Amino acid sequence: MPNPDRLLSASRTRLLGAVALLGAVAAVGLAMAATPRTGAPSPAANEKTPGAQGVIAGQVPAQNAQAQRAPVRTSAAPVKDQALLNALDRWYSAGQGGTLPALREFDNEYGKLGIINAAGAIDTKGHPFFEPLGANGRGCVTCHQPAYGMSVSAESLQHRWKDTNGKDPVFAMVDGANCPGLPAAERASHSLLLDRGLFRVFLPWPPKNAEGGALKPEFDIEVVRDPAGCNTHPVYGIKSANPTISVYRRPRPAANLKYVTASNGQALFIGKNGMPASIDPETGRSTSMNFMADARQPTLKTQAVDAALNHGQAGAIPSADALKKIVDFEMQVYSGQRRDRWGGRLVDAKGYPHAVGTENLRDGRTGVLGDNFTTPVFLFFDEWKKAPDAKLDPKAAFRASVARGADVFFTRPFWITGAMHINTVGLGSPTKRTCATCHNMHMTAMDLSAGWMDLGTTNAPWANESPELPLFKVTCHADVPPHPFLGRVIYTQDPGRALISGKCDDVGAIVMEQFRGLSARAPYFSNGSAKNLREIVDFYDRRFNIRYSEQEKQDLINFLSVL
Amino acid sequence: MGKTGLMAVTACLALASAAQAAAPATQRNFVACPVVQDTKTVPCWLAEYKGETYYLGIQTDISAEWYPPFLGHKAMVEGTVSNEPRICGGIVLKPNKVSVLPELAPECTEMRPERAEYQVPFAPRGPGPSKGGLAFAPAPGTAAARPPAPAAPQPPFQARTFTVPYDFDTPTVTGRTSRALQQAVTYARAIKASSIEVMGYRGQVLMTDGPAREEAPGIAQVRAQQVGELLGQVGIAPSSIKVAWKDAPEPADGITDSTKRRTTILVKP
Repeated sequence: MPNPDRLLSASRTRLLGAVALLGAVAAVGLAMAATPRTGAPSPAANEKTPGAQGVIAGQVPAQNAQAQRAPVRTSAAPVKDQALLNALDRWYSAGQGGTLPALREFDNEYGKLGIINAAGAIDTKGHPFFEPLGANGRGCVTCHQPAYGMSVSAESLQHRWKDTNGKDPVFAMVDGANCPGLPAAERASHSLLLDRGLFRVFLPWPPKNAEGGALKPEFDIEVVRDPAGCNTHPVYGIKSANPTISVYRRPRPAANLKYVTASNGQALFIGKNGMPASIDPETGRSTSMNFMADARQPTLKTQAVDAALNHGQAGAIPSADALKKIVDFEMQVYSGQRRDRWGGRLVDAKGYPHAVGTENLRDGRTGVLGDNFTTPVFLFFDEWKKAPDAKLDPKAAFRASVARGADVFFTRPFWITGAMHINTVGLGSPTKRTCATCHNMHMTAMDLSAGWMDLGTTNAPWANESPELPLFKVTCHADVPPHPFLGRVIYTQDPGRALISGKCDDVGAIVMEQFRGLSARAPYFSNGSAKNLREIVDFYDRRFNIRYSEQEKQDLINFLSVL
Repeated sequence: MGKTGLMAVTACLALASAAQAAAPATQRNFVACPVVQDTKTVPCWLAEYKGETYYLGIQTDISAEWYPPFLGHKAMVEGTVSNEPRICGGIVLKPNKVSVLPELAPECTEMRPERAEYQVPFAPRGPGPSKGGLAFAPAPGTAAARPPAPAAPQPPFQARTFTVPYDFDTPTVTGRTSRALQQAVTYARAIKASSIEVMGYRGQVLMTDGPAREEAPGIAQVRAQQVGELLGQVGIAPSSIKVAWKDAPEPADGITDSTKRRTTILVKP
């Protein structure tokens, strides 16, 4: 149950003071906008885009108000011996201390994942990434575990549930449960996290602009299905005093971020849709808009604040020094597969293949378009193709399969149809292209541009049926163009970017995720709808009617597994 | 004119005024479902009108001047019949402007399989990755790919107008057309502009088969207001932005009609 006393903590009072100040600023802005001005921009329209003021993004105060209402268990201590558990399953608990070496390898189903700290070994004791940041005992590391590609896998969470009787801070009710109002001790209350690796992301509705004022959305949204009960909950739901929409998403890898955050010289306006790019509030520069599923935070720093206040239920913003250390750590850690159980050590002494493994990630160039034969997304695997004894030697056979998979990914055309923010950017619909058309960022296979698009993972009719997830009905207003491929009425499990932008054509558009460390962090897609690599391939095969052969599918799986 | 109901209303048909002649004989202005004609490399885009097939263009990439339309939507085609040999079986319309009409048209689904006689050897880019750069961009690493930054404007500063073009019946800025806004903002900042005047226009197209087809009423206001808001969102002081619009459709001649669907941004020193 919520602890009313905690709501009055001094630290939170300071936060609310800041929020109130921001609210006042927003109110003044709105009042000015409402003053009649002949020929001025429409006062009824959105005055500001989503973004951040200082380190606070507009939606965060409303989120924090909800986070502070979620119960925090007084005893978050695991019931078993912590050191033993850590040794057994490689789980880093916030505050446990110890060293994260400059290089560490972790076993996974496919082989070994590597973690490299470019800055050298990290003393985690006292490091803000590895220490609890808020009331529920979580640190950044709780959901961004080295062994799991700086994310977490569903399997690792299941082990953690069993080993701690569900008392690990990762299961905090605020978002580690399907809804905070559910019984904390029951597995069913955490089924989305345990079965699909999904954390609850709770966002204010209507969306907030940079100052926290309401944006005017282009659509109405209704809750059609609410199996967790959170969207219709009187405290946490869309009709609560603090109207909130809950969606469920996978945590993204906090690694290889020099690629993910590279802004690539993005202009004031986003090349895909002409809307204003998100701005770093400290530098005034456009940001990549590529490291969260909905691009709601402009920088790693503002993301850390959001995470501390909401995932961590912190009562105050982390100090400037703590934020710097968190960002510095995130920008120097690299994660990628290093060894395969069939393919052996994946990178040779000369660093070949030059896009595989952690060292190549550390040393690679950022901001490079990879949808070309000069600097392919994952460079070249030609030497693996040439293995003369591939039919006899399992290692050579596996490597040849990986090389073929890279070719399928890179050069096998198919018809890409009805994908918002891909077909609409000038390619037409359909367009006859390859995986690398969208997955074009060198080394990560993200999109070099601001990367949200609707590939069908959350929207009907393409999304995998998921009765355990909420379903929303989105109705685009009559005074805006309909969604170009889905029309005016859209059913979606997660409206994605549209919950931030309020735009009809952003419904179901999700920022694509990096391809690195996949072997360590199933399930996949933002809603965890692909249990394994095979299901990723099968989804695309169905979505775009590609008709991959079984050999092509296996080659793609092998290729993805070594990244 | 309020914008409520703007997009629910399909574009109005109106009789051409007495001053408007019929579209020139070499002009083809019509609305039709686009058709995809596959080839061994990239697809051709076609449209049929009064029993004839017209070639519109081929798939390339975002650096192209011409962007393909969408199946699932009708397209407004505004093109000039050329003397070039047929491509993919279609009479070549060149130049042409193709607009994706906003409302869905589920009947527009036709994709034709490749045929040996249809070749597009002129395609600058195939269906896969590029040879190194975008189809119509300078080769990476060349001087042309790194043109010098334009010189900063010097006083006495001049008023300059930047034009945002639109597809037919499209009220919003796109990724490509936002370049005009980028240029306007850059210039406004460079000269410390005293005011920016935004003017939205509504177009119409003189159709080949007779009457002009007007864009939806109210679209000029929506265009102008969105541009004004976008300028404000990227840091132009709202008090310096004046927004106006002209809802009466611009005169149509059947040739230059696509250029009249626009918003202008006048940046004054």
